[in-house]
Amino acid sequence: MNNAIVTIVRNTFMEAFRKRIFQVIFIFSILIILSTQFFTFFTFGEEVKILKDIGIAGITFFSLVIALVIGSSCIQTDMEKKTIYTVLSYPVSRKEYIYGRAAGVFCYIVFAVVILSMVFYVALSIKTYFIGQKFGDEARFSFVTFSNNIELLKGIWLIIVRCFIIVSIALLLSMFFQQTFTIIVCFLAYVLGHLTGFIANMAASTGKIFGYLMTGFYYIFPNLEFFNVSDYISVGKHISASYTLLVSIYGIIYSLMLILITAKIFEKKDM
Amino acid sequence: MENIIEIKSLKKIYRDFWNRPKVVAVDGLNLAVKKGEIFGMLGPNGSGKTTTLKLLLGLIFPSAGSIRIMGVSPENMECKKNIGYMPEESYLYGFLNADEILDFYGRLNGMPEKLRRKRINEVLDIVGLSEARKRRVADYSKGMSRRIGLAQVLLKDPELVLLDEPTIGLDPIGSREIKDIIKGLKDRGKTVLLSSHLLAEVQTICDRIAILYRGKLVEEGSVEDLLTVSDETEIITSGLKSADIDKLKELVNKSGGKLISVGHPKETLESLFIKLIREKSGKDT
Ligand SMILES: Nc1ncnc2c1ncn2[C@@H]1O[C@H](COP(=O)(O)OP(=O)(O)OP(=O)(O)O)[C@@H](O)[C@H]1O
Ligand SMILES: [Mg+2]
Repeated sequence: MNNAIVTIVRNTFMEAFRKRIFQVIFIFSILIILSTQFFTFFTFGEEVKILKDIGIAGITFFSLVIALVIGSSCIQTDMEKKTIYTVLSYPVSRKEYIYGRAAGVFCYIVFAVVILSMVFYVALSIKTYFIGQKFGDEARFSFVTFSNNIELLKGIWLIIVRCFIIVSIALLLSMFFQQTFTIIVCFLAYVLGHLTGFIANMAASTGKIFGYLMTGFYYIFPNLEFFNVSDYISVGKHISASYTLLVSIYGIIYSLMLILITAKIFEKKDM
Repeated sequence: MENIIEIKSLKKIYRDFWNRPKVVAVDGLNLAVKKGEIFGMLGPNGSGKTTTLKLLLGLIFPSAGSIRIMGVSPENMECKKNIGYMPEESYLYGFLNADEILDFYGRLNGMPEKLRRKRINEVLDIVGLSEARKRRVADYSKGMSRRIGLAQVLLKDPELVLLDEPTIGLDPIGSREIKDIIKGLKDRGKTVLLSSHLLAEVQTICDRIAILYRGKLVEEGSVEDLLTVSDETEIITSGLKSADIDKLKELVNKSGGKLISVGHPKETLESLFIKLIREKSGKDT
């Protein structure tokens, strides 16, 4: 494995790990997930749904904030504060720097999501215990299979892949823009990315130039709706393995393409 | 002696967001730095010193002309192992402490663990940061940040050292220490290219200098040659009354006074610098 890239990945991870704001949001997300313990409902089905909805929301929120904040800043501040001068005066190619940065952010997102998912799992287990006491063992057993299933893991994995796409968009935009602007555009992209199906329909019905534009937009833009499986998770519907695989490949290829483009731009850039 | 840096007809035009030319920062520069010397680049603010250094490192790309650095083009990755660079503002990763930062750079340079540990201790000692090594660099004073910037250069133990205003922001003792470190590098056969506007400083440590103005070379040569005023004669005598020079000479012989020395008086680098820039700006406007 390339030493320079590994060094930059490590450094990126540490940078994120020591960021006060992430520590705060991280604790906040954990508290949100744990707070689900205090909601009680009449039927255990409702309790499970609430618990899952909030847990998934917490994980989504936290990972999205990380993706936006680090993605938009990790390369941009290096350029703005000129830290990049010293880094590039070492035997590190510009490509390696970009790959290292991107991979470092990905690692941190995976790390954070894994921790939050573990908290989530603990919250679910505690709930299971109390459900057993309240509704009897039969309910508890059905809850266990219902909640701790593999579907949850697939859903969380797709949240991670979606974050990769957002990070890659942010890294690309940060080649040209300041942090605030990048965050705003990325967030818009996140929202629009969930509406691409809707846009395609509109394109079909409008026709003419505007229609072509929208169709083009539909193909270029990431279809984030593919990754929106929280509805499935909360009601415990089945997400097929082949779907998960296909969508993962789509997301990873999309994100790698953006990173390659970013590296190409960065190679030609005056620092 | 062989040239470790060769710059030929180098030109750099900065462009704006829309790729329109904005500033000509370096304009047809020719420069050669020999192995083992301390070379000083002088020039007023905005004369293209930093730009030239950045071009040498491949941080920016020339608009025209060519650069050879240690025999290769600046885009060559391998040569960077042996080039140390201290930028004029060294913002280093603030979330790391001195130890961790140097460890990061050591790893980037491909130094094995053991060597890294040893060298980090040494260079922290040299730049006087051993005490503060566990403190976050974000909390460092300006001078301490400069020192860690220099430590990063020394860590590599490079053949060629590029320093952009090395003593800026340092107290008199600190800048003295840095000057000693630079001289030490030369004694160990390293080549140093530095930029500065502190003339007295350059005068004391540089072997050769180049004076830049608006991206062009105005003057280049050894400090010794440049500062020697050859069309004047300075006679230092003792036991004499005042009179004209010719009469003095006769008088010296006749009156039995002692002629101590006949030599060339030195101009200070400062007055030379100001004279050259004045001349140049008078011509341009
Ligand atoms: N990134 C940039 N974009 C546009 N113009 C630039 C850029 N960097 C430098 N310049 C311009 O190029 C010229 C040379 O700048 P440079 O930084 O090389 O000067 P310098 O000799 O290092 O000056 P100083 O002594 O103030 O450090 C200046 O006119 C400056 O405004
Ligand atoms: Mg400068």
